[in-house]
Amino acid sequence: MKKLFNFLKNHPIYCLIIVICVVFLPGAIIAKPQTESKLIIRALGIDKAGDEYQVSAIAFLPKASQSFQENYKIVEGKGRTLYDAVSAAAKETGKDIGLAHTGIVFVNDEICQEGLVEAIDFLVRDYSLGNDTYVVYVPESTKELVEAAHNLAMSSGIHLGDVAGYDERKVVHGESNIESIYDSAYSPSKCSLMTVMEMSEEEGIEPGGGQSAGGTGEEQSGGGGEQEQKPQKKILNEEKILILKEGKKALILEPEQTKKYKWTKSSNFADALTLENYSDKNFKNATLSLSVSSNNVSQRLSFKNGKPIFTFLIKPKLSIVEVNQDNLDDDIFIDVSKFETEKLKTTINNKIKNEVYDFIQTFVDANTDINMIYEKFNAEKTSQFQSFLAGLENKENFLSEIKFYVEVDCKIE
Amino acid sequence: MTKTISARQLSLIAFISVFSLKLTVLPSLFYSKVGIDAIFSLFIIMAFDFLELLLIFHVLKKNQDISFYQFLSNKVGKYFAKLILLLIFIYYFFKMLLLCSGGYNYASLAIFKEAPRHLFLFILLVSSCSLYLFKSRSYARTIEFFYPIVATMFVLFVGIALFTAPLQDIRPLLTTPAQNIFESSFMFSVLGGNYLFMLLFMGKIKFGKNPNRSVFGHVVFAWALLMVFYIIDYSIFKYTAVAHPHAISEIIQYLPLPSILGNFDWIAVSFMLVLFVLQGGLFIYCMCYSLNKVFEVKEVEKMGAVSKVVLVFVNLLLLLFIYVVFPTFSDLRTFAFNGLFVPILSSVVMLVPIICFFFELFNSKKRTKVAPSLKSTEEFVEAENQKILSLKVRKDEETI
Repeated sequence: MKKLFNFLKNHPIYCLIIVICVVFLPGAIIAKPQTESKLIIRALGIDKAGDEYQVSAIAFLPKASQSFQENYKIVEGKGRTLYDAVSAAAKETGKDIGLAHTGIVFVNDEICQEGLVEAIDFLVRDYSLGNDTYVVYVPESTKELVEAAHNLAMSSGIHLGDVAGYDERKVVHGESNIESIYDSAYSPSKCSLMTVMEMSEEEGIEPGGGQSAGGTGEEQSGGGGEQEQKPQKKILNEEKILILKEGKKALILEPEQTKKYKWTKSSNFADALTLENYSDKNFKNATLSLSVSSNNVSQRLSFKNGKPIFTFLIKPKLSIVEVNQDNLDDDIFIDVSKFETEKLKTTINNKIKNEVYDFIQTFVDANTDINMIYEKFNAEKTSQFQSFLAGLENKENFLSEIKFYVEVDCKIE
Repeated sequence: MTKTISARQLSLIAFISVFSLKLTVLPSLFYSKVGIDAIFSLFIIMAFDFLELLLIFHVLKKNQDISFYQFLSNKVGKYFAKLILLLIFIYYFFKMLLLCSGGYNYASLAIFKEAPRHLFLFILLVSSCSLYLFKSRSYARTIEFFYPIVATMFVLFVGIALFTAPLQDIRPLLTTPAQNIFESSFMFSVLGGNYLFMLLFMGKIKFGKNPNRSVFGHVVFAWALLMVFYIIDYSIFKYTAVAHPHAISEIIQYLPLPSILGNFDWIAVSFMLVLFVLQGGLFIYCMCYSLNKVFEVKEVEKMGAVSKVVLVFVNLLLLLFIYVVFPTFSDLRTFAFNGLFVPILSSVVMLVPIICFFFELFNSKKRTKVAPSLKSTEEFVEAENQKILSLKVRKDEETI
């Protein structure tokens, strides 16, 4: 014993190790895994009806099984505040809220009308939920979409979080997450963009599983007439964009308008352009489909007589991928380089220019600074721009005082 | 005097001393005062620190065989030396307090929300005190061991952030009045003074060949990484930086990394925990050294007991302030960054290297006026006696 005491006295590090083991080891051995105490929420849908929040969430529940299938369950809750509603949903399962793995949040129209920034305040303050979580606008009920998303994931493995990520990259060409929503409240442009998903009876992807129609072979009660079959709604994701201004819904870009918006964004993702009834030495009344392999957009900012001039410089690279024309001949497949004629380039340039001017008119009319014109001028020409703003009667309508030009120089590969 | 650390080890300690809370809560606090111009506030602190480093380094090189306490005693007398060391103690006490409270604030969110404060404090204080108890040589070697890990993690983090984060244009800059920028540098000055600790290592440093390259090289590297970090933070969270008080973890959470790579938050958390412990060790060392000198006893054998009592006292005082005086981090933050006591204290303490430099400058001028040669045997004997006496005092210093 004395030997041990002397040894410990001469090697105090071992005393430290013993103390650490005594303090920490018992707690660590009996500690439960966090999955037993936390409800892992993968997707969250928030509806607001009147003063009440209704939340529906897809929760991941670990379950021992012989297959590799993940076990998800939909939980719902209501509350006066969003936190109350989410807590109520988690209490159903006897666990605490765990938002660390929440990849997507759906919000309904009423929330966006009243103010999204205030509504999701709890989500911003929750440290475990990253501000890069996608936020998606749903025109009607998010509960329906959450149920459909759950069925889709179980039946086919497609997760709407991945779809939202795709939309963010290839539709919005920017961010559509919690952080970007806060930009709409605190940035000078006061605008941000959100992807849109909705339920549709006609178009979209069938969720499968869950709430399928009456069921084959099942008899319906109430008479031997024809079976009442409720058609399953489909999840529609058709490249719509919701524009938020000061955290509130301002404008929805329909798919056609979204295509026009995309011309103002640099990208390396394939897109499409169609020319109809095009004729030149190579084509006669042809419908040409061109693939846009990349689009390089820059801007030129200048002032003339104290008025700002914003010029979009658009340089897309295209290639012809489809030709629909009567009387196609062999030549059309042999030497594709001859297709790049001045007329074709001019036609493409003009088409793009018209689309972009159309889009510019849309956002100027709606007074939504989608392209962050304010910030670009403020960064490069601060003093001139501030002088211009100071001279305006209504600074909020500065967009209508800016002159926009579009220059397009396409390249056909 | 026994040289316990090399110039390289000193430079690595200087590298480590730059970080910790500057990577968590400071970006959001700075932003709340001056917006994106916080980059300039940080630059002012950095520039002042660098200037101080030049002065401190000069003083250290000119006084390689005496301790800081001896140096002060020779210049201003024993009691003023103790007063200065007391101020240094209080300064490092607040730094340690911020580290403990701010560190727990970060760790509780980044790791386990339910983890109690005493768990974190136990880990931090025990590790930091161990580093102090195992003396400066062991501390320096520990830093040498962790430096490549810490530097690699931080460079990896900065590299990933630069190449994958959605960075925005941070212009326009200098939109805040200059007064606000300087004022915020003053209010957060307690997080500066990163090289003051070198004075307390006076007499223990083995400079070797070309120490300047090592020390200044590592210092510039540290500050460059820090500036890049701030630019990345403000570029990602251009308008909402104030809402992100745990900058390093929030940045890495926000990076669009592929799902196969998963969450890289473990880089930030591991990095910060190591930094907390290493910085804690440094602060504990500085506090205990200062207080030991304030309560110095003549008997050598009692010095060991005094140093242990001082260590226990420092820990108890820290716990008292953490649990009673400033029970939450926001209370401490308000006192430290919104009040005047801590900034004024920091400013006064940061004058110490400048005063030491002028003492040294004045001393060297005086030395050149008087011929060093001794004119008589009596004077030679007197000089030798002085040397022997000072050697005896230095031996007492080595017990710390």
